[in-house]
Amino acid sequence: MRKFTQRLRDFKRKYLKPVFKMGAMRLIVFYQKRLSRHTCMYKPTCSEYTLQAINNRGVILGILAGLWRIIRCNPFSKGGYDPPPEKFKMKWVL
Amino acid sequence: MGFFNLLAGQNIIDVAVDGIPANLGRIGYVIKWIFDLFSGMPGAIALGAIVFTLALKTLVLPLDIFSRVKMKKQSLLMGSMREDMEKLQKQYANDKNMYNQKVMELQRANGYNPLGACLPTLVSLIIFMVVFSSFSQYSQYANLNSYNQMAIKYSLAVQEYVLTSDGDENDNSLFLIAAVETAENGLNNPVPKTDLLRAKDGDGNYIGGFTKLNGEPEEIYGYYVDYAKFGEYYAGLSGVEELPPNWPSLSEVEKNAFVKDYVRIGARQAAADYYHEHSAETSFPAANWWIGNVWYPDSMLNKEVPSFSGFRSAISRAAGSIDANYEESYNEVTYNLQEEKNTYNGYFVLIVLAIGLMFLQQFIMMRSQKAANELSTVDGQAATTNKVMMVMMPIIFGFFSFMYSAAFSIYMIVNTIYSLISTLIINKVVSVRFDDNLEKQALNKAAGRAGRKRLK
Repeated sequence: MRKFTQRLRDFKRKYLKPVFKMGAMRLIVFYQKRLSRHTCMYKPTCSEYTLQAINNRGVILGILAGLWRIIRCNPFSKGGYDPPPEKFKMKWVL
Repeated sequence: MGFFNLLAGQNIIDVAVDGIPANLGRIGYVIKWIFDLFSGMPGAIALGAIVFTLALKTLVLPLDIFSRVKMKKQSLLMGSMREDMEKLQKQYANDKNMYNQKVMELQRANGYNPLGACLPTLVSLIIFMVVFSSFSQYSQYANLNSYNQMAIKYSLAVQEYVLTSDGDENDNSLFLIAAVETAENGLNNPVPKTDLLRAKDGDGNYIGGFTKLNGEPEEIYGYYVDYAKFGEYYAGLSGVEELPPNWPSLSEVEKNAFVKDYVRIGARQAAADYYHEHSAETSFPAANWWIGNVWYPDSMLNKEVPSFSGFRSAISRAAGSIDANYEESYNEVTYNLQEEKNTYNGYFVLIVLAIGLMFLQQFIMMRSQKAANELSTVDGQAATTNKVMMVMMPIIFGFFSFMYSAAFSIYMIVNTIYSLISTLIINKVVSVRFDDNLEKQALNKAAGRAGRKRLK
């Protein structure tokens, strides 16, 4: 049984995680190439930001960071240069 | 007693039809309110769809104008910076980041702010999706509701023959006696004098086939027939085929089949009459002219009254899961609508119109943002994107109008015309203002130069 769970974990790490990550990233790249209107207040753009955030921190955290960025990207904010952080500091959580 | 009644189950005739409970979300009720404004008028549903579209577009108009004005301004400014930008495009063709940086510097120098936030786009997309799903749910709900009304009319026509508590026992036309399943007496318990009720459907209306027993609504299992009364009543009718000569000696099964057939004739006709009375509301632009029923696609693949499988797939979202048991009821209620079952629902006109208008709108949108699209990236990717969109969008929406309903096609056509007109007006206003500003700037510059010269 232990062996089995170990194998399952290995399987997840080896195959499933890359699939989700690559799937999400490919979707974003598709959006950038085919659907995007190329208007954003920030550099890098919201989609580029999300792409890099997913690459840095994984699918879940990356998408959350991207969502937060999209919410910030509204007519009342200033915009400008805002790269995704390498590591998220979540001091306010702890 | 119960045992004998179980054995005697065959002397009960079952002429019940089932209505299908319908459900509707909160936004669906708002849409329903708009559509109900026109109830009773010919082409009511199409009118409702048009008014609904106009109301929705006017609601999101501020957001729309905001983004469109921004887009057009951006495009015009880009156009005025075209030479410099093209130089940069050539210079940094291999270095995207450098290009972006240089472009930002150039834009800042020209007083250009690359506004165009992501959130409003996302919000309007979400609004569209929510409204779209409620609209499709409402259309299924309304379609189902008209079927339920037909089922009610059918049941009411049957109940005209049932002996009720205020009915006269000597009246020959009241030859049916309700049979109810109760806890004490088991199945098929006759209720000689009954208060008829109608069961509730999703809207709180009662659908036929229920009776009031001990103050509680109970489902009527079937009807006993008073054969003597029926014989007298039938003999008094004119214009019907004669009672079989050996009527008293027929078996109960044969008698029941005869009575059932007779009762069904009137009930089927009542349901069909309801449909014909209200068919003008659901057709477009007038009854029996072009589109029979706007709740189905405007195509020759659909019939005005579909078969049960078509009906089932057309209302699946409003009714939850429907099993095949309803097929008998559906066929019974729509029995006298054979002509409508063989009529094409439409001739693709609205679908072709929707796709054509969509194409035109995309084309104009593309032209009005030409400069911005060509220059916002190094390789002119945005222009290609827009070309793809110009072809893809109409195809996707054309597919939708094949899938959903003619009402959705009407919604799309009105929507497209509305945004076409607003785009044209916004473009005109913005470019006139932009030219004015340019002239002013030129004048200011000239004045400044003159001033400087004088100083020197």
